[in-house]
Amino acid sequence: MSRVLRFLRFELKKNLWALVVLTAVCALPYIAELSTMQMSYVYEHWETGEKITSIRAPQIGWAFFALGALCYLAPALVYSFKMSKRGVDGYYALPLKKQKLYFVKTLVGLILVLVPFSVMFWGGALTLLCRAGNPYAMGWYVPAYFGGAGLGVCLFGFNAFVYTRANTAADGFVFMVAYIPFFMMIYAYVMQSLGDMSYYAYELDFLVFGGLSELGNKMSDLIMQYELVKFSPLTFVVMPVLGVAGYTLLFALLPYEKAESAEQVSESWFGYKTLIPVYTALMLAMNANSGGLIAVCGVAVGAIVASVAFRRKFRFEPKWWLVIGVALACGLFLSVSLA
Amino acid sequence: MIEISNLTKGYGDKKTVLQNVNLTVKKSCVFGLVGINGAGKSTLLRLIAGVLHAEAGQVCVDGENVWENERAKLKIFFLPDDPFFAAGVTARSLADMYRAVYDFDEAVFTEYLEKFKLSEKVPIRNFSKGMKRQVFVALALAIAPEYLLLDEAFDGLDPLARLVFKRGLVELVERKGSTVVISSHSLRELEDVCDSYGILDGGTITCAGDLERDLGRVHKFQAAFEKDVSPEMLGFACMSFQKTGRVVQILARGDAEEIRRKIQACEPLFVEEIAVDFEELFIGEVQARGYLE
Repeated sequence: MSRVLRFLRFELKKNLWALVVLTAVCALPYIAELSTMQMSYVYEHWETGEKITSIRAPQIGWAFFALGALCYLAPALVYSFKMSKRGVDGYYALPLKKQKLYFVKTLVGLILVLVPFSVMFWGGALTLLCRAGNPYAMGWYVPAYFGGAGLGVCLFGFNAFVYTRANTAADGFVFMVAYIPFFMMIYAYVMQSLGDMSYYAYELDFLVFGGLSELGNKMSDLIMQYELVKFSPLTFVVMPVLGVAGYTLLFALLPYEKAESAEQVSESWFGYKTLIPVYTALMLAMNANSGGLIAVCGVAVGAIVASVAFRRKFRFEPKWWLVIGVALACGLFLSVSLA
Repeated sequence: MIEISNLTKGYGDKKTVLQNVNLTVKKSCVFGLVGINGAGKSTLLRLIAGVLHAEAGQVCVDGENVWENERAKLKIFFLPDDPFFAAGVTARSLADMYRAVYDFDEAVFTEYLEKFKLSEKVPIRNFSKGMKRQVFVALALAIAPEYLLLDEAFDGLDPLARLVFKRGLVELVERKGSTVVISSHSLRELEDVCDSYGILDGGTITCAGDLERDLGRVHKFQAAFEKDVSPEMLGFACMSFQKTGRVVQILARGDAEEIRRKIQACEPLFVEEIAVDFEELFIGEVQARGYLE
């Protein structure tokens, strides 16, 4: 057996307990809920008073929600070694190339995401299938699973890249959370500035996990045998693009990964350095017109608070004050163009 | 053989820790790497281990560049001053990790755990600092690499554990022909096991060589003078000149008889040569460079 496979086996064994706990936490309450819930309910029509029987949702959204949450937890579990000097010494000294080390870690991360999701998803499907009077179109569970798993793989890849841009675990979480509405805000601003109000239709698709949410809702409708279920055209576009970019950049930037950065200020261009000025400018652009001076002050204070989290000190270099100043000026300029 | 050529490493734009380091560590020896705090010993070991990447220069092991080279790194085991273990990790799970990537002698590992009276099932976080180091010592000796890099090797170990460890190192060198590079501030411990050494100062290796030979080139004299003497009056360059009342201790390089003759010329009440140890050699070297003045 090759060294990489032996190392993979070790990493799987090391994470086995975490895998069991995550699977149990995801699957058991879900299966318990599905095995006891009423699959249909009766209500009176508000106008005619007619009694209507309606099918209850198959709760597939919970499985997709758990999948999304796992995609935020797993990167922290598998890549946190690079956030400590000791971890870096321990892992980078091993006779494994960084590409192989990260490949193994990424595989383990994907297993931590997909196994609990799969057990939860198919455990739920099996529970419903076993129940008498099942009104659902169970055939849709197959595309729902593969679609969800595929988008989960994409979300994990993107989060893996974003998380590993940080030099501390806390910064890693901040980066993952900060990127959730990042592209949506840029899209919303661009559409707003073009005067195109149809942006509301697709706005949520630009959330980092927007595709997963859309897929969960629509597959739930299909399973309930609703007609005229129409997917947003971006459901399978934004997340795969982010996923491919995430995996590509994660591995492509490995040669530039510096072991000595562990525990230091997270200086990556994919982190605070870009997020703070972009958010500052966008927040101001979209709120200055309605919020006035209060909005300007609020965004400026927010930028300074975020900068304190970034630099871990209250005194910033003049260059950073300049960056915040330019971001605020850009925000004001952009807000004027929206007015 | 470890060959370090023109190695330069800095942290950020401002701080250069190592500048143009050149060093050769021959095979099957125990090499002591010494230097004052912040001299760059840990950085140098992390570069040799392939953890850090140098801005310039390279580290070669048996002619192969170490950086991102699995074959070269397979010959190396690095034990840092603060070794890594995840929460809940036991000696057994650490052994499993290293067994996955190195040739690992289970019998040696068990033997040393028994010698140190350590349980392999107890989480390492429950161990004292010394016990943690004992676990990693057992791992290092079980891996028995061709090149063993030890940072602050004896830190936290009790005298008995130090003795067991030193015996293990000597056995490793004799049995497998391994090369051991040890960074430590316990120079008396280093002197017991090292046959060569290097002093790291100002970001570069200022002094390196065979320990026994270099100790033979440095002489320490103790003399008592009725009159007040200064280093300038002796007529030779002193590495160290310490005066306590009328008694003076002088450390100098050169011919012992020549030095004695020059001290005699200053009419001492008595003069005698005392054996020099590694710690005195090191202190003499760093004092000669203006430290601790």
